[in-house]
Amino acid sequence: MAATERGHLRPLARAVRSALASRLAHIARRTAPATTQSAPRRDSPAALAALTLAALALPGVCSAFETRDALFQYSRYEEDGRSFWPGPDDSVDAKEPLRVDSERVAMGLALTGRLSLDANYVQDTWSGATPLTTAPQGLMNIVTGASTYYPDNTVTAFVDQALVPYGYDPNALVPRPGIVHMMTSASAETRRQLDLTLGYEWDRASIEIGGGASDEPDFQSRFVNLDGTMDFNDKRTTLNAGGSYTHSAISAHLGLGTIPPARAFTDYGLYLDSPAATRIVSIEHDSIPELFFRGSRDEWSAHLGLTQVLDRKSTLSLGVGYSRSRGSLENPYKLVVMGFAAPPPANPGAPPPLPVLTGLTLPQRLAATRAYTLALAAYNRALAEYNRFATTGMLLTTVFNLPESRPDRRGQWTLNADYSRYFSTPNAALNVQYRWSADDWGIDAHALELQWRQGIGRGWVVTPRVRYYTQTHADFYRAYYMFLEQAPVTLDAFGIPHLDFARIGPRHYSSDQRLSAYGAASAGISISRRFARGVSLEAGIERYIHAGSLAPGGGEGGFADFNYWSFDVGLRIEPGSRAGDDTGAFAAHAGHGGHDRHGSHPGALVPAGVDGAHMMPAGTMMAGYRFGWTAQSGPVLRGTAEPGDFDIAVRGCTPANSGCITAPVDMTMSMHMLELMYAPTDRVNLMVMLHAMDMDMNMRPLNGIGIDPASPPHTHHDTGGVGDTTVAALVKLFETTHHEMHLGLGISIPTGAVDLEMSHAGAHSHGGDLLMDYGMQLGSGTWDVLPSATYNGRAGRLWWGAQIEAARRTGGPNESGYTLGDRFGASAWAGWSPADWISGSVRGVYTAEGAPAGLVNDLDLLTAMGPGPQDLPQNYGGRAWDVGFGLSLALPGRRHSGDRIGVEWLQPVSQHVRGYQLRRDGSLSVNLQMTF
Amino acid sequence: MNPLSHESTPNAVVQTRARRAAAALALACAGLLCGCASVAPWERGHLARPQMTPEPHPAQRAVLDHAYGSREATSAGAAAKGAGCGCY
Repeated sequence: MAATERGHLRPLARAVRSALASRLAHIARRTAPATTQSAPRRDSPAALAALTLAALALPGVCSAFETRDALFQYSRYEEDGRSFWPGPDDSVDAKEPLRVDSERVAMGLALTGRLSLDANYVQDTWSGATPLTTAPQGLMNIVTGASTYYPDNTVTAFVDQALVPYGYDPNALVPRPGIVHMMTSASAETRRQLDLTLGYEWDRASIEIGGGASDEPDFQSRFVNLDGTMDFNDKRTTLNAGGSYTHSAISAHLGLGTIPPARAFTDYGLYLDSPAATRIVSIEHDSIPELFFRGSRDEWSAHLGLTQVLDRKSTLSLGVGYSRSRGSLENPYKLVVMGFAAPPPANPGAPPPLPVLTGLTLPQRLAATRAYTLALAAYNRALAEYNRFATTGMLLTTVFNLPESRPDRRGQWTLNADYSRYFSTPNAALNVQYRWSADDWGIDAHALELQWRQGIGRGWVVTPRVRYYTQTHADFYRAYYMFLEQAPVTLDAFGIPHLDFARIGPRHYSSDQRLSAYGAASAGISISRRFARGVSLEAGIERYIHAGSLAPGGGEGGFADFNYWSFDVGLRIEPGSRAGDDTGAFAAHAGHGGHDRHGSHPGALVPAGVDGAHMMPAGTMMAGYRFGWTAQSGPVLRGTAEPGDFDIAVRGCTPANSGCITAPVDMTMSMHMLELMYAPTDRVNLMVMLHAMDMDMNMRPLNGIGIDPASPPHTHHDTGGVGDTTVAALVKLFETTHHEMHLGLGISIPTGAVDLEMSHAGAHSHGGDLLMDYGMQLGSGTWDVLPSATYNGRAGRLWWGAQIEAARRTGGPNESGYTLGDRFGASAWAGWSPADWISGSVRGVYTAEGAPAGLVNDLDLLTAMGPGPQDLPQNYGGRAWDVGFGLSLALPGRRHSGDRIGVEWLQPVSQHVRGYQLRRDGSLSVNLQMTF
Repeated sequence: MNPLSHESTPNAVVQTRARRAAAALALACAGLLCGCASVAPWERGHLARPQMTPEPHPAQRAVLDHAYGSREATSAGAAAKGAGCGCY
């Protein structure tokens, strides 16, 4: 995405910059009179001269191989709750609205004066409830409380002759046409995306080629793009064109085969004879069949655009784009409710006549009697049905839940226009954007956005904006489908009705409200501040309101309405740019006094996996990003030994009466940390660290344990989201040329969740809400004190150090009733820098951790679930020796600032675990830091 | 009766409309090229202000566009470069 942004920014910026460069000498003579005549007083000649120079300093005019910019960003998307149908036994309690936490790190490098490389990493973790399907209440609230998620997947409902669904209240039939959502909530999932863009600039043209990958558990994308720009017409006009190709593979986990209550909502096994059947595959996992939706999709897009300088204060861009998609375009988790109302029954008339038996042989009499009995039974059924219809007017309706079906092709045209005009007096620009698009699914959409970009001096830009979007519905969209016809079913050997897909009217059907007719109004504000050191801070907030009634002429009903908040904050560092604010305070920052000595003092170099081990000189700020990854792939250890399954089953889960049912197979934990550090003085440094976590664990049933096929155990867990927040202070004890020592004291604020539950589809069968185990929760839930002491030494190209650190949990137990064990760590390291841009290190690490106090789940619930060792507190903690191997590289052009990227691998040498735990394979740390 | 008998909009209708729109756009572009006042390089200082960049808050724009793209049927549009499924 960084590349995309720059792609947008580049044409005009480069046009302006290049034109200015060619006339630099001229500007010196002409600027003052020109601006005095045309600009208001507050825009001094110096201001425009500054902008001229600022324009020259825009990305692209860099000397060879240096770090151009870095971006650290956090954002959150959070929906308000939606109205929903809770299900017959409240098992689908959508109490957590959908939310997405995103972290992003991007970096731009100038490889030569004209060649640049941009890298962008973003990850989203989402959790909460999302609509699964929609239907009128009358189809969900059937006589006995059965619902559309009924084991045999069909229900019988009543509708009147106008196809209005009815329900009992409690004994009389009343109309129940109101449409409601059925929601599903899943455990957290994380998406990760990495993309790279290589750009080259000529004087009047530029080209970018990029590619990347986006991975989430059920969706993998690979993409490439090519974009170019060309200036002409004395650089008043810029033409841009580009294209992209994306290939995505879908592998959505639908549930545990045909075993009820497998996936509590629908039995996908019944749809193996549907047109989508080739995409629904069954895979055996530890002899338990699991169903997956497998598919792939290809998307091509191309666009062409023109940007024109209209006059000294306004520009206009126009563009056209086309995109084409092919393959599985369904959302694999969305279901469609279809009701087939049997036509009104005819009056059966007179009963069948009595058989005349005289003159018949005995066998003939028996046959005639049997025929009469059958005819009479059929007559009585028909009569009862007719009488029921005559008295109630209700049609008998069979209801099915189906996976949605979309066309496997889609073409979409887009036209867009973007106009900007600058107003000198308020020092603001008005920006108007309009986009129209139409596709061959029948969706026409219009989007109009207005922005008022107000400069308020000192580098501030405040941008309030409003946006309106509306679309028509896809031809095949319905909130639900109702047909006046006999259900097209065939009965299988067990009498279970199967839909005959060949006899369903529509080939394509979807109840995904993204394809409905609606309007959306949003309003937001963005604030950015550009500081003198080439640092910008950005923050924004937006409120988005989606409503059918906001569409011209009305759209989908109120049941589909929802709102969300979006919030983001970002820090951008452009070391090469020392431009000041937009009023012209062009601060040619000469480099911070502390920077030069920062790179060589003791403590400037530490292994990437060590926290809080280096201090900065007064006045320095640092932004850092740290990635930590720990893998455990077994086998399960008891102390240092490898126990058998029987040992684990019998002794691993005491005091749960059930013993252990499962054992972990592997677990990975990723930690992302954004770090801000400020040195008010040489002696005291302050730090804030924000964490995002995601964990993933696979389990297996233990050998020899009888698994109840009606309630198979969970074999996969994943969680993710915001972790705890640390604030810390480092205090220097002493520093000489070769030695330095400091103390640290941190407080871990419990911002990470400790009440994450297992997904409802699974918890449903155990009769209660089950919490994930200790290791899958995102924080400690307690206020933790984090003391540390660090020593650093340095002599020439050699450096060394040692640190002891601890975590002491206070204020427990947490809201889930437990307290994690305390932790102690000690490490010592030595490093060597053969050159000032590269260094390597070796580190020895000892860690010891106590076991949690308190159960994360009630013991009865645990026993009912059938636990694994990870669910019991005695199977946490232990002690270990690791050896670490580190490599650190100075960022291009930043070697004297101490800005680096470091990597360290921790290899376990000896592990002694408490209880039964997976063996750890190792840990990776990547640490990127930039001072400013 | 099948209530979905109007199921598919012919591709040709969309294409014809798109062609007309593209023709109008091409005409507008030609008009732009001919009808614009000449702006000398030293008169473009205002155009270099942060407010006049095509997007003054690009990192935030990416966040907003990702949300629109996962909630609207068309917003991912032609600019999509692997923003993920957004299936939630």
